[in-house]
Amino acid sequence: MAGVNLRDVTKKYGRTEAVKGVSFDIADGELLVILGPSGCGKTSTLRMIAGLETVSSGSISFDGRPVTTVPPARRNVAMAFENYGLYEHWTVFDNIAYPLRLRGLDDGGVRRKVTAVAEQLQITDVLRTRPAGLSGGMRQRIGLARALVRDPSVFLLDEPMSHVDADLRNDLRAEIKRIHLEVGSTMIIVTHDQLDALTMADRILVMDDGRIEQLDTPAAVYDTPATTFVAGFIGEPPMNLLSARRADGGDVLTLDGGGRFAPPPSLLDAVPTGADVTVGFRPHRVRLEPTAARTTPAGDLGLDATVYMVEPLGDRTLVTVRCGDTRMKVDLPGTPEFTVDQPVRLTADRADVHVFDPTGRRIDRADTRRAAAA
Amino acid sequence: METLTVTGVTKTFGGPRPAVDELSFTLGGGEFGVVVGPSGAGKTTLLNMIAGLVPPDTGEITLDGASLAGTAPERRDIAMVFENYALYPHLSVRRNLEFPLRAPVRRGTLSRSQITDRVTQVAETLRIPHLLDRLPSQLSGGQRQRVSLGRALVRRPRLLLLDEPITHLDAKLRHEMRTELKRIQRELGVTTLYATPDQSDALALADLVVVLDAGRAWQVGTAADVYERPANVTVARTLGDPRINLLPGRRDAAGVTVLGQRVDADHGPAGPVTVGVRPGDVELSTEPLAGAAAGRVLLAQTLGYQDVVYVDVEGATVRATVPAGIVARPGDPAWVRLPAARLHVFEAASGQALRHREVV
Amino acid sequence: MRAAGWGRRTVLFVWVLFALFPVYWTFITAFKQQVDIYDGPRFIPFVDFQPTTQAWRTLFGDGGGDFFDKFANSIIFSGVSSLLAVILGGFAAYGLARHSYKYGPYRNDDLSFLIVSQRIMPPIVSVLALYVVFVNLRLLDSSFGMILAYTAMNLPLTVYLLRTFFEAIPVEVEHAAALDGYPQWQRLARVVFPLAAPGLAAAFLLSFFFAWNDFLFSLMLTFNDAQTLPLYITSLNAQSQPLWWLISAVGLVALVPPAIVTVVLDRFMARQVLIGGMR
Repeated sequence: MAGVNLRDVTKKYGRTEAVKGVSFDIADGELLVILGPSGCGKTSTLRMIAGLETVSSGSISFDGRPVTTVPPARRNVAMAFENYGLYEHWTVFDNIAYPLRLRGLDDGGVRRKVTAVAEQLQITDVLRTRPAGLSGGMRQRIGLARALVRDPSVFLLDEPMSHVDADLRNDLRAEIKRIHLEVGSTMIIVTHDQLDALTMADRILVMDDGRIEQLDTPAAVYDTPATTFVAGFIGEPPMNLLSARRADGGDVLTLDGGGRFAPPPSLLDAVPTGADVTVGFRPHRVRLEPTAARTTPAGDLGLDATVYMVEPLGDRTLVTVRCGDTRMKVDLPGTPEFTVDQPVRLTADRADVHVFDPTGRRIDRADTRRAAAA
Repeated sequence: METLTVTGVTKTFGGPRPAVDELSFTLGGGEFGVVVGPSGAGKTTLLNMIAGLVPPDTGEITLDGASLAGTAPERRDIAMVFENYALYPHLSVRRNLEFPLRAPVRRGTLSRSQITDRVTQVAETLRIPHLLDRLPSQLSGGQRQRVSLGRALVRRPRLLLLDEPITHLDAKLRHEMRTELKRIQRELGVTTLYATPDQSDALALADLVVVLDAGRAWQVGTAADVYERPANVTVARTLGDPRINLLPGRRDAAGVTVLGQRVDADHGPAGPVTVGVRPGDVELSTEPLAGAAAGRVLLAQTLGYQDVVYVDVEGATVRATVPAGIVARPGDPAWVRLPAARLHVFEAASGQALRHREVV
Repeated sequence: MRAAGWGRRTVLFVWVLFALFPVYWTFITAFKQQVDIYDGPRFIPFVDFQPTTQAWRTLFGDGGGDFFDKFANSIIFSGVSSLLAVILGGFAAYGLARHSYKYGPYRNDDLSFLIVSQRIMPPIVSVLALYVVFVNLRLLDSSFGMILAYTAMNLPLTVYLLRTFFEAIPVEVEHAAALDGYPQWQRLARVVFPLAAPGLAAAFLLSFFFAWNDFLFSLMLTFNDAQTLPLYITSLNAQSQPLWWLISAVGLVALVPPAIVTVVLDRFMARQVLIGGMR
C-alpha cells in the first residue's frame, strides 16, 4: 500500500499536450476515480502512474519515494485492463496464479493465495474452467483477482465497466467498492461515466482538456461543483445551466428567457456586473407548479416556462421545460400531473442555486469562502 | 396511424432455444412501444422480422390490418434507425437524407423541389442544417444519430423502428435525445417501436412496454403496469433503478415471513415465496425499530440526488435509498423494515406474482 | 525544414536515384546504337554517346506491324480478363460475404478455400492440363481462349480479396437501403459497389498486372495471332545477340498501360478513407 503524489506532471505527444501540468496527492488506501470525457488526459495520467508512459515533465512518487523513471515492473502497481487481458486457453486458476508463479512462489503458497482471492471475489466455482464461455461480469472479476493476488501497492483500473452490460454495472460498482473496503489498497479508477465515479469513489478527480477541474468527495463534487464543466458533467441528468446578467448596481440577476434570481447579499457582492455569468440548479432541487396555481413567494429564483416533455421513471418523473430557447430538466418525486405545452412556474431556494463567473468558475458566498479559508 | 400486431412469432437460428419465442403484442396506431431486455433477449431479431430483413419461422405480423408476409422490405414502408446508425458513408448528409425519397419505390411521387423542402424541414426539426454538406465520417456520434433519425423520418414511414438508438451517446446527450425523440414522435404521430436494454428508456417513453428476456415476452402493458404491477420476478428485476430487492420468504395463512419478521402482506397456502421491495420503499434506521430486522451496513454509494445503502441482514443484502447526505459507514449497525403495503410477493418456484404493492 | 528534415531528404534522394536508375538505363538504352551498347557502359546522352531514334523507327515504322498486334493483344487480354475477373469474382465474393452456403459438408470457408486453392500449385502444372483442354476445344492461339485463361487465373485472387472488402461493409448499411426502398440490385449498385470501390479497384489492378506480365500462358497456349508483348520481347532475343535497343523501347512502351491504370484507379483506392465513417 502506498500514497501517490504527482507534481506538475505533463504529457506531450508530439506537439499536443494531453496532460497540462497536474498535481495531486492520493492518500494511502484511498479509492480515487479520475473522471472526464474521452481525450481529457485521464488515461494518460493513469498510464504515467503505472509507468507505461513516460512523463514529459514533473514527478511522480509513491510514499515519498520518487518513481518517475522507475520501470513499471518495479513499481509494484497492478493494472486491470479494459479488455481484461485473460489467457483464454488457461484455466481461471492458472490465469490468477500467473503473476505469483512469475515471482517464483511455491505451489502451496500459490494455491493458498488464489483460493483466498477467489473466495473474496466469489469465483471459486469457476476456478477450473476456462474464461472463454464466461460472462463479462465474471471475466471482469477474474481480471480483478489476477491484479489483486499480487498485493500491489497501487491498484489501477482502466474503464472497468466498459464491457459490462448495463444491468450488471450497478452490481459491479458495489462489488469493486466492497473489495476496496476489504483489501484496503490504494486504488485509482479511470472512467468517463459520472455514475461510476459517484458510486465508487472516496474522492473524484474531474479532468477536462488535460487539466484538473475539481478534486473532492462525490458529495462535494455534486453539491458544490467548482466549474460549469463539472456541473454539466455530473448528475443524471446534469445540472441546468442558464446564462444570466446582473445590471449595474442591481441586486437581481436576469436569466436568459426572462426569469430572475435574487442571490443572498453575501453572494451578490462577488457577482460582476455587466458580464455574462452562469446560474445553475440541480433538476431535483426545483419546484414546479402550474402557472395558474402560483403561490411562490418572491425573492427566490423564479422563471416562467412551458412543459416540453414528461418522462415518468417509476418512483420519480423527469419533466423537461422550455424557457425561450433553453431547455431545463426537473426531477420530481412520484408521478405528478403535467401535460405537454402547459405553462408552468419553476422556483428554487437560494441555497440550491449556484452562480459561476464569466470564466465558468464557481462564485461562493462570502461566508462559505471564509469558512473554507479557515 | 397504423396498428402493428405481432402474433405468435417465433424465430430459431439453430441455437438451443429460439431467439424469439411465441411472441404476441398489439401496438396501437400512433403509439410509442418499447421493447426492453438485456443483450441477447431477441430485440434486434424482432425488429428485423418486422422490417422484413429476417423471415419469421412461424407467426404473423400485420400492419394496418394487412399481413406483411411476402412483402419485401423495400415495399413495407417501414423505417429503421440502427444501433450503429448505418449511414451511407460515401454520401453527404444531404444525400443521406434524400436517399429514401429518391428510391425506386417512390419514383415520381415527389418533385425535386419537394424533396429539397422535405430535407430542409427534417434537418431543421433535428437541428442539423449546418451539417448537410458534410460526410458521415466528419460527424460526432450525436450528430450521426440525428442524421440517422432524420433519414428515417424524412419519408414519413408507416412504422418507425429504433434499435438502441441512443445507447452509445454520453449521459447528457442521451437525456436530450430521449426527450427530443418523444417530442418528435408525439408531433408526427408515427407508430414507433423502440428496442433498448435501458429500463429508464422504457418507463420514460412508452405507451406500451414489452419486457423481453430469452426470446419471451414476460409482460406486455403500460409503463405503470410493468413498474407497479410486474407479472413476475423477471419483469420486477428488469424495471426500476436501483434494482428491486428480491428476498426469500415464506407465506402461510397468517401472512408472510421475510428477513425473520412477520409481515401482514399476503395470505395463502403455506409455501416459499420471493418478496420484492423497491429500494425506495425500504425503511432504514440507525436505531432499533419495531418490526425491523437488524443488520449491518455493507457500503453506501451516492447517486448525487440520493444515496444507496447496502445492508447485510443475516446473509441477505438489502438495498435502500435514502436522501443524499445521510452518513452510513460500512460496519455500522442498521435496522431494516419492510412496510407491508409496499411489498410485492411472488411464488418462489414459478416467479409468478401473487400480490403487488399498493399504490400511494 | 529543420536539420532532421534535411537528413531525411538526403537519404530519400539517394534511394530515389537508386530505385530509378534501371528505368533511366532502359530509357537511354532505347536511344542507343549497337556500338554504344556493346562498347562499355555509356551513361549520359549527347556527352557519352549520340542518341538515335533508330529503335523507335523500327518499332513504329514498317517493321512494327507485329509490335502493334502484340501490344493490342496484351491490352485487350489483360483489360477484358481483369474486368471479368472483378465482376464475376465480385458476385462470388459478395455471396460468400453475405449468405451462408451449404453444399454437403462444405460451408462458406470451405468454398473460399477451394477457390483460393486453385492458385496453390505452380502455374506450370496447370498450364499443361490447360494446353490439352485448349487443343481439344480448339482454343489454342485464340483471343477468346486467352481471355478465358487469364480470367480463370485471376478469379481466385479477386474472390479472396473482395470477400474481405464486402465483409467490412456493415450489413446494416444494406438493410438501411432495403428499408429506404431499394431492391436488391439497386442496393448493390447504389450502396455496396460504391463502398467496395477501393477493393474493386485494387482487385482490378492486381489482376491487370498479373495478366500483363504473364509469360507462361502465352508461351504455351499461343504461337502467332494471340501472342502478347512479353513473347514479342523474347523474340527480339532471337538472333546472334539481343537487340537491346529494341527490347528497351518495347519495355518502355510496356510500362505505359499499367502506369495509366494505376494512376486512374488510385483515385478510387483513395476512397478507402470513407470506410472510416461506417461504424
